[in-house]
Amino acid sequence: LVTISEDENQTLELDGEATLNFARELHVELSAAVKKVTGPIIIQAERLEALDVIGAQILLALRQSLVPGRVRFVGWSVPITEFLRASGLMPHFL
Amino acid sequence: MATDELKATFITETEDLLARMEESLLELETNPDDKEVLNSIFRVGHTVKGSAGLLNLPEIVAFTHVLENVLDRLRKSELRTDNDLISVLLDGKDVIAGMLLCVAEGRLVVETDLHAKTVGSLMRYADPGVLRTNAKAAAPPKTELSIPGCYRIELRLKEEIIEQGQDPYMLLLELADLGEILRVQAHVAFVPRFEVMDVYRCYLRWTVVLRSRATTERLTEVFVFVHEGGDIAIVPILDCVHWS
Repeated sequence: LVTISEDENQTLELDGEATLNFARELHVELSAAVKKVTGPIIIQAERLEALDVIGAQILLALRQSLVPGRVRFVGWSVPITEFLRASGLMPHFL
Repeated sequence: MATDELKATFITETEDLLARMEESLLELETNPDDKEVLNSIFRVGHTVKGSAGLLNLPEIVAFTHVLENVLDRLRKSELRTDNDLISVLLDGKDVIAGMLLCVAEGRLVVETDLHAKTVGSLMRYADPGVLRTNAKAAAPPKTELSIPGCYRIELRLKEEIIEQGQDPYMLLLELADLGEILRVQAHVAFVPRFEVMDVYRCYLRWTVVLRSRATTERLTEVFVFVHEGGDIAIVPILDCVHWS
């Protein structure tokens, strides 16, 4: 679900589904990944196939628990953008 | 306090207020310019409207909205007190009492002949601007309104909702099916720190502004399986324009 890219930014790449079915795994993998990254955390969601309220909450909690501005989300696909818009969550993921 | 208890308190207090209103209206017959009495009657209308709004009773809100406007015009001396107007206001008191009885007995608040006649009479005295605003809210309560109404819906779902097989996003989509969502806002203040969160709990809350022909009763049906343990408020808004 979460891999750390080899580039100098050490972007966290999300893959698969950030949903109820994989909530525990997502939490564990994100927890481990952020410990390995120093500095700003860019979460790349281009390859994310699905996001639901549970997955969104996990990502929000991560960002809120770190220094403001340290976590940035990029690459939302069209369907996930639609989910974020319809659920009123979009302003929190910009 | 549970909704049933709040409703019971509202009914008792409104009965007292209406009794006081009747006494004051009769007093106006002999002292038509008594400001204190006029203010006291206005406060009754205002209080009943506010409480009915909190309890999600749109029919009472709509009616008292017009009544309150007439009472406001009276206390500002924009209208003169005469026996005809006092008679209309006494009918207004009876209409509220009738709607209150429906609420007390758990029945749908229906529009009676007296209700329709009194609204018509009050509209002769009310400010024309309020009539336009109230036209939507005063529509008779059915499963579907003849003109779309506007609602603010506050969703504080119980945290276990997802573990119990319900998806808050589906509720939002269901609301969207019933009309036009003018605004949806997710509140994240209750999302805990990442390290301590229970990933299966729902910490988000929502405010939705919806324009819909659905009645409050129909909207309530959307939440029939998630109402228990949560805090869901569906409040009619008289003015949609602000949210459009």
